Amino acid sequence: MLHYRGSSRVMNQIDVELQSVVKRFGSFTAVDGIDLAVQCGQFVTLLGPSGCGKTTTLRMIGGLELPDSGRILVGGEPLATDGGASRPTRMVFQNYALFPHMTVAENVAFGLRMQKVPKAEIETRVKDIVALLGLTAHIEKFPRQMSGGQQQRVALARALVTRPRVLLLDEPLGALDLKMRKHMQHELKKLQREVGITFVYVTHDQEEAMNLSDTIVVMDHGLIVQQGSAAEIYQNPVNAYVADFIGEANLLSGVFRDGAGDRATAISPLGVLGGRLPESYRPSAGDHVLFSIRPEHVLIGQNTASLDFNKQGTLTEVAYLGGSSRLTLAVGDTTLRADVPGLFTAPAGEVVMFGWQAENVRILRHDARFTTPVA
Amino acid sequence: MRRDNVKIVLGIWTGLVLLFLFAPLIIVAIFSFNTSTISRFPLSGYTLSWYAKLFGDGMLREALWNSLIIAFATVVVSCSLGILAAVGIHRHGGRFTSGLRAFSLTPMMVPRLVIGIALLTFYNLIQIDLSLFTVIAGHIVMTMPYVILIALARLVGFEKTLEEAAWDLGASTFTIFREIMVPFLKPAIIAAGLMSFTLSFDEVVVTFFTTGRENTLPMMIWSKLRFGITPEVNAIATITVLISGLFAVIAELTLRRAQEKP
Repeated sequence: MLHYRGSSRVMNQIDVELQSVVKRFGSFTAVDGIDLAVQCGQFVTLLGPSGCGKTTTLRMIGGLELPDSGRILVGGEPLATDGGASRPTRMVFQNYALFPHMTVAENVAFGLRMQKVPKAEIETRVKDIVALLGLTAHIEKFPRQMSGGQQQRVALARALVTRPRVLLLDEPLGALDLKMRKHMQHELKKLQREVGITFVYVTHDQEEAMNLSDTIVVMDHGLIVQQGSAAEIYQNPVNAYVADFIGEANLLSGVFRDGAGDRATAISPLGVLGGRLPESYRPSAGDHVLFSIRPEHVLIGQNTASLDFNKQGTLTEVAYLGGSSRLTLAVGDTTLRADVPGLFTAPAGEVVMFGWQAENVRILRHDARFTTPVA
Repeated sequence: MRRDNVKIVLGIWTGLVLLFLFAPLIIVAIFSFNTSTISRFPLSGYTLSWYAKLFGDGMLREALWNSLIIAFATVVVSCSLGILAAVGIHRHGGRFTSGLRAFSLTPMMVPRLVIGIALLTFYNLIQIDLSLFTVIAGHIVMTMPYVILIALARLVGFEKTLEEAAWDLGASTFTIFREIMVPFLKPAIIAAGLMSFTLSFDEVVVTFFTTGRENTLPMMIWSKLRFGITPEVNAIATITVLISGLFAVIAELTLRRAQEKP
């Protein structure tokens, strides 16, 4: 069994800590004061669209960028800025950054040579890690003689063989095709469990993030918007940005009416709707709000009569997706998406009943990026 | 049918261009084997005596030897300094990159005659005796812009993440240069080396102004030309072409192998 610097630690120890970290490039603020604590042995994903500051954050943890202010601690110690082989983090780059003039074995051995590991030990450790990643048959090949997936494994092996405390991955699957990406997601998760060290992962792919992570950190414009498990974030998005980015959501504009605790009502183009508020948001009457309803919570058919809300709508599109069908409904000027299990047989143009339970509706802060016209 | 016609026309055209380029060299080589001292067809007979005469000529041997010393020294110094300069400009140039680039390439645009006169004036000013060293220094000034140009062109394709990856794995700046940058630059280093060798080996003007008593091969040719184009001159020229050509072939083969195996 391989021994990693992190593996003997207590699980709830903090491995990476960011305190009010700010990074600017000229007049652009890439990271705008974030605090983050990553527990030992966790798979944490920084998720967000390009330009949200996720890669800059990762590069700062890796020491490749220096924060303008704030502190970064890895293993409880401030990051050394002068490099050297004893640094606690290793990075897997988006384009792999394998050394083109070196074989797989030479690439993987590079970090160990820098650590001045004895030759005989380098040989066995390279052999072990290459075997773990299923690359033994390719050990004498050059990077360009290998497929993208294989190069990806070499990049992982090259970083892991040095036994880092934290492995940083910058969209490592971005260059692979869909099928290979799915396969490598599975492999990565397995690998992380086997080596037991902390992974900090960056992606813009919400499905990948949900698939891999213990904790997802959603970022927007250099700030952390929400963090938690995939289920927490999916079920209780703090705002419309998160609701829209993680999974899909029907977002409807509305005006707040009243509420008690997390139960509230607001006026929507479809009439008065009940829903739940996130913990951090308590609007007052007359405030502009957004409703978020997941497509799978929009139910179709006669049995919707007993739900908290129901109405008639016209089917405009029906698409069969294999496991489910995606329906598009028009209700006045409002368009709604609904996912129903299995094959849905009614044709487009038909008038159907739809509805939902109030507990599946989220009432969120108004956000101009997602506003739909109010009827 | 039309395609075939086009092919034939293109073939003939290519042949003419090659003939235009190489005919003078071939003619020089042919006359170097002529028994007559007058360069005129038909040849009066074949002989190797001009080559034998050349190799028997002590001054000529010394000139060849000087030319080789100058060329090798120029290659070594010009390449090491030029490559380092290119890496420096590429990596740390910042907003001065294009300015530094243009500035370091200027000697290439300046006429050799001006470089020669400037060097001579400079040597006089700092009171250095003219020798092989002053010639070598002059040739370095002349060839380094080419080295920088070739290296900078190659560096454009360098992925910065390779450096970052090496740094991330614990490599020092020097190790990154030696183990990542130099292998990447290898084709450029070879090309730059051969380029400066050829430039230096052929140079007359800069050598003329900067040399003391020592003579180089191209200078010999010049001085011998005072007595007209003799078969002896043709023989020297043929040898010069062969040496330059040999280096060009080596360069091509090395570059090709570098491309096949990174």
